[in-house]
Amino acid sequence: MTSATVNDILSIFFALCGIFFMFVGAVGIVRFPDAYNRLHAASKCSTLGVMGLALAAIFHVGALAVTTKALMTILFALVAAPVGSHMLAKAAHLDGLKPWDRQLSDELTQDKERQAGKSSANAPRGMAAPSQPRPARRDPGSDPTARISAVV
Amino acid sequence: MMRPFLLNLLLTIVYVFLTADTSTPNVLMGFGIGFLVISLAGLTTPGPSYPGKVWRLLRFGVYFVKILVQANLKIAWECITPGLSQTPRIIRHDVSDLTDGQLTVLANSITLTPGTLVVDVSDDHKWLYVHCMYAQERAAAVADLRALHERLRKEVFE
Amino acid sequence: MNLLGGMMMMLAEGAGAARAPQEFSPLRPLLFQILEFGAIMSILGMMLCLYRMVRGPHLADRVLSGDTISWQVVGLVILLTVRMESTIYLDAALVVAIIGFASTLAFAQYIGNPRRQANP
Repeated sequence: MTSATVNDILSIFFALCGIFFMFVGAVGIVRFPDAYNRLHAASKCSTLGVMGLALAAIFHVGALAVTTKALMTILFALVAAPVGSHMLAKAAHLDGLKPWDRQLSDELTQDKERQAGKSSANAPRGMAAPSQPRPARRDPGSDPTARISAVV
Repeated sequence: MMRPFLLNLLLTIVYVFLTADTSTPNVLMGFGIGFLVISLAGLTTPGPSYPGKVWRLLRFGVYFVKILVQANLKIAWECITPGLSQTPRIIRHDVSDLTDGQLTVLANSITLTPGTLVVDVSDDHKWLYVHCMYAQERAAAVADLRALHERLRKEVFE
Repeated sequence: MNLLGGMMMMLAEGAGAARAPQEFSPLRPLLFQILEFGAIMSILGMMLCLYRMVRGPHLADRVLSGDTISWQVVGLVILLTVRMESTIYLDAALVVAIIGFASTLAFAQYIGNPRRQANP
């Protein structure tokens, strides 16, 4: 058994793993019930799929340029996929995504509501806020009416 | 942990440039020489030694790949079998003993472990909100998170 | 000066780096068939993601399916690298990965923007 055969066996194994997990991630995105569960499938499966394919490239080609770039791709996948899914989940929760019917509890919503209640109880001046038609903007500088009212 | 390792990589690059040979054995040779130099230099300073740190990091890497494969097999099993068996929950997890960089590492590894996904961090960086896929009992899910947290703190952060 | 000389030599070699032909292995045709199968499966996965992108009840569903499509494109380019045994295609894979990550972050910022919720 020559070294080329061993390399080919390894790269066949890793390529099959990568292809399988990539496809499973896509199926999970179609099948799972709500956006949080879909994010599970998206982040984990694409990371492991890209890892497997990059390892197949390393074992088949074997030049130092390919090895370095493939390792960089793996590192980037390990960092970028979880960060992207975290940002998406945070944004979806902020946007009020309706969770699945069978979700048992949501402590993030509880804590947000408790904090909102506490801040309005601590600061009674906040009672003026609901009378305004729109919630307060983050930076008054970009809103011309807010700047005028601040000046007046 | 990070600084001696970056120094090791720098020594490797210097060795490769000095010998002008980019074959894989030569790069590994440069890495080994840098490893030896840093280990010997670390003998004079107190604190945990460099080879011990690298060994613990390697052990964590093997464990991490194992749980990453486990997570993917779980999702594959959920996709193949008909019907949905998830019992999701969003639970909070106490991270007030970590710095911001350690919190990032912990959040990334929580997202890549089976059945958990980080949703949000509280504004004062004390609580992590984690979406668990299989959390019929809350206590079991919290214990899993706590075990990963302890393992990461012992083997990577010291 | 030896350091600089080594660096220059490596750069000169790297510019014209060509792949040396590998020795024969009986498994090579099987590997190439698996790569074609992988390309077909990757395209099927992209079609499934497109279905979710059209159907998705929430904006986050559409964005995450787009993210997954970008990772599938990265996988496809890596398959092309293995097939062509060339060193240059992996650059394209890295670029696609970075662009997909940046676009996901931009869309996440857009979804979570409080100004969008104030006047939809």
